[in-house]
Amino acid sequence: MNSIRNKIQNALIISIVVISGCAIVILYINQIIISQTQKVINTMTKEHSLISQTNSLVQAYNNAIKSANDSQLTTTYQTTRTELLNTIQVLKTEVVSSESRATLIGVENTISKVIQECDTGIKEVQNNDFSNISNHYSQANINNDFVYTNTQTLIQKELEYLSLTQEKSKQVYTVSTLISMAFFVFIILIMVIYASSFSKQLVAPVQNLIQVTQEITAGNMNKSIGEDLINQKNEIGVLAKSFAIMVDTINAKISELNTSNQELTASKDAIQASRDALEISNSQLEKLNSFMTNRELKMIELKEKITKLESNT
Amino acid sequence: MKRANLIILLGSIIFVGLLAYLANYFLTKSPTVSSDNTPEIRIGFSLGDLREERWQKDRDFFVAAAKKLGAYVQVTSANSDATLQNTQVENMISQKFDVIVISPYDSEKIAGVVILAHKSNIKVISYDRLIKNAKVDFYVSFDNIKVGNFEAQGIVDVKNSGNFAYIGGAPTDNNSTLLKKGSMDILDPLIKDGSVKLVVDKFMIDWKPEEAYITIKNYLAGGGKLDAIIAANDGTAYGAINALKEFQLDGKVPVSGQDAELSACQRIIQGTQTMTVYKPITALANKAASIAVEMATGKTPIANNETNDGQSEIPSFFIEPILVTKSNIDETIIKDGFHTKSEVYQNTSIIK
Repeated sequence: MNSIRNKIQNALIISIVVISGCAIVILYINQIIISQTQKVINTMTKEHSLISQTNSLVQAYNNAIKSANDSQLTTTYQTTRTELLNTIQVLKTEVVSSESRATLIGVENTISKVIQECDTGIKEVQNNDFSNISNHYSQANINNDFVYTNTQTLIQKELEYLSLTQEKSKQVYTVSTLISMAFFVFIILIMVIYASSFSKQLVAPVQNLIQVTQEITAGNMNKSIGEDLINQKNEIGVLAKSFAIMVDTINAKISELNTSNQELTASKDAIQASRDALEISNSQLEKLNSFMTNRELKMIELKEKITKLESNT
Repeated sequence: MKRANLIILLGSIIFVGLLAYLANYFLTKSPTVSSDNTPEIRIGFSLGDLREERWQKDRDFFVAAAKKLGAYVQVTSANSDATLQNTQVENMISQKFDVIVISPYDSEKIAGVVILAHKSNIKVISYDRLIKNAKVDFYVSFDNIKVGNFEAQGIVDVKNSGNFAYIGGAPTDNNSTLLKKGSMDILDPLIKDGSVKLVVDKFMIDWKPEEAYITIKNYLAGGGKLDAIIAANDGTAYGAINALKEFQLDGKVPVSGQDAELSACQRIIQGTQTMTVYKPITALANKAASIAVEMATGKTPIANNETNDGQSEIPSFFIEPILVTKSNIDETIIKDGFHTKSEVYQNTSIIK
């Protein structure tokens, strides 16, 4: 049975699915935008750290060449160097936009130049060749300045990319919100149409039923409920069917009553007859009674007369 | 009714899915062109100065053209500082660009870094202004001698005798020499036969309009008579015209120029400047970008000229300049979209 309850339930479920679906999509879009932005910001932070890392490398070099036999300082230099190279490797996988990638290649080349100068210097010091160490240092410093400038360019490219992404996100966001709204309105429209046609279906049979009930109340017990009403496969159908059954039952009860009523009338006549008979016999009895009473009175009179006579005698 | 419900339910689910898919598709797609492949060609574009309107056009057109060819461009501007420009080019060398395109602020001081670039196997293209004594790999420019010819010819067409002033370009710019040579080719016969007398002949530091203003003002204030001014570009023409204005001579003394700057075009319409030379910068920038890409991929670009840089002959490509006067401004500058008609004509009503 496709009940009214089911219909209302379905309509509710559809509305909930649509509304929550739209909400989920919008949340999802937000999530993507936020994660994209966060990703770029993380990358930018790493890119910015290239400046300080290269700086530390040059300083570590400067410290290492000043005391050539201190292996601790050489180790520090090597650690800084490894860290710097790691950062570049990580960045290479993280940077998204083509412009930033091209800029990153430049930054990487400049950093390689710094590393190359420092490495050569360290090697020369280890071989006790001190003739070129300050030259390497100044070359490393010049390129260190370039790293600074180029990293700034790189971060600027990332910002350009970020602003482009955000512009794009904003567009997507607006468009999907608009589509969601449009669809939402569309669904509501369909619901309204559906509800109005549905209520017609619901109200018409009820009105039909009311009419029938009123006629039955007025005493027209022969009024029957239409077949179309009874055949409806919902609660109205059930109600109509029960109502029809009820009317039938009432009709049956009425005819039963009529029969017993007739029987009652018959027995009433019989009772009347026997009562009449009783009355007749009763009057006869009264007559007899009064006759007897008169006789008695006469007897008493006679008795008195006898007494009087006896006394007189 | 049950089927209809099912269709609506399915429809909504499909719609929501579609919306999510579309949003995901657009969001994950990178806004820049082809994020997946890193540009294989990296070009450095070093400009001596970005303050003048025309250099900003050069930059924009060049970057756009190179991007179309799949190359990445990094632009630097040295703000008229030769040392800064050298550092910027050194930086480009350290970044190992494939090709470096240089528009030098100082044609000679830049030579050192060009040699450094060559040591690192980086090709160098001289853009618009020639780099001297460095054997650059290519030179792309306008035919500056022809520009010089036009500047003199445009004036001689209007006034072919009397006292002439020559207001040259920056002495650090090789083009200034070429421009003067071109102008002199036209003026020399007239000077020889005595009809023209060159009363002012000076180069202007950094192409400064105020230098031109002071030069012309000083000459006129000293009681000098002036019949025509050959100014090397629109900026210096502007300075010269301002000086003429103070002596109520603007519009009476013909003045030349070049670059087809917007204000110069407006002055031509107003009648205070006689002509300008329109150098289609789009053509120059596009040509330079395609040459740079060709060089980066190991090809030899086609040259249509050779230029001597003081030591050797440089393969060159010259773009033809166009002489612009009031009569052909519509079918050249405006037709090309270099300036719009409303921009060029905007002040006319006020002047009338």
